[in-house]
Amino acid sequence: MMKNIRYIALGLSLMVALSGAAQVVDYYSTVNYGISVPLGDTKDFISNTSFRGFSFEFGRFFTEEISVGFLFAWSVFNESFPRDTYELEDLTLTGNLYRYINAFPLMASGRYYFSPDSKFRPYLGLASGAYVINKVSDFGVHRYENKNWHFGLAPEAGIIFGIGTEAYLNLGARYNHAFKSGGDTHSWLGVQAGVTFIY
Amino acid sequence: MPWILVTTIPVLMMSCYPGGPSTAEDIDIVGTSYDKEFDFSAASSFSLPDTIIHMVGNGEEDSLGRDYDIMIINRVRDQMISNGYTEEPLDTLNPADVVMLISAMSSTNSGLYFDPAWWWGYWGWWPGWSGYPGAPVWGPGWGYGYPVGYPVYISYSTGTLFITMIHPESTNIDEKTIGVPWMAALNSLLQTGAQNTEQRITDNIDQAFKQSPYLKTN
Repeated sequence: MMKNIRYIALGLSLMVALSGAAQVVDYYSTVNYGISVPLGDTKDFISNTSFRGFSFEFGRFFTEEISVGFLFAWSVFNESFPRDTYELEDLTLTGNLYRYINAFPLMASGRYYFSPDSKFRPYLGLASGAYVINKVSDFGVHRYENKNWHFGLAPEAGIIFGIGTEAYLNLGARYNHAFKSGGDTHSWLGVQAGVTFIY
Repeated sequence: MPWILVTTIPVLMMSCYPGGPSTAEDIDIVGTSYDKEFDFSAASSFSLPDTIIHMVGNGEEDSLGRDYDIMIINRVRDQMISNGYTEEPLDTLNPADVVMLISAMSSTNSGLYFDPAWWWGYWGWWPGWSGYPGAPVWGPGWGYGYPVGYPVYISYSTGTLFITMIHPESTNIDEKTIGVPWMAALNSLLQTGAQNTEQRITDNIDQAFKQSPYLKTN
């Protein structure tokens, strides 16, 4: 647990160090709906794209261009495999197999926004911190669960578009990489759309 | 940083499992295991007691009905015959090569698993044993010699059906075990209130034999 908190703290301090001297005191909050496309080992386990995801972010701008904040997200991947026969050492088993991944990024996030005076503000960012990933296989009445905390990095790119004095539409993509923990490495590409308030 | 708690608590509490099993057959499992040393082609006859033993935990009521007993026994018989075995009647001087024992777990105690030492307690009464040369030495405390060398701990939910092929000639007096060349566990089969129970039982018994092609002697 301490190690996990350290991941988050490390991420936060990195971002604060990046932000430099405070010039602007604007806060922001974002709510996004997200779609996630599994990659790598995650895709080997579940190949379906996840349409169940959301993220919530808040933080502050330190300059017109630089923001630092906290990101929490939840993505649910699932795939069911039709009735099939599996050989497991000395056992032969026939049944339906259901797989699930519940992924929860808990990260510090830093962004650089271009074009301060424009309504369209593209941004680049990097999030760093912890992923809690619960990987589950259900076979009949049996559940095999592997839940781990991972250290992870998530570079991102996106754009916000002003639709009111404080309101913006947000559209972005984020590559999530959760480094090996408990024998598993996970990665997926998230595409998210939502609303950002800067106030 | 109370917001860390606010967001961490749901992480520790929740997971979502969409698109999971929706019908009883979605959670049916058929498990089989066999003794790789056993020569199935050398066995040509079988006997089948006309009873399904309900294994009940200490102090528990037998919660399983017997509506499907005859159907289950008949289906196992049909499968054995179609795999090339001939049924032998009981109490002959020339007993069958293998005996098929059918049991069902009737227990709501999730901590209870299939205890091989119960074997004698549940099947000792069967008159067919008198035909086997090893039979007189068997008694309480005798268990199954598992095909894989250890008991198969599929989590046995209430209603799990076991089909066990016994080879009485493979008796190990030192270990106090009787040979089990093959066994099948049909999980979650006899759950009360489930739909299509008859069809599921039939399909799952058929599947147990289908995924065990080495049983074929014809």
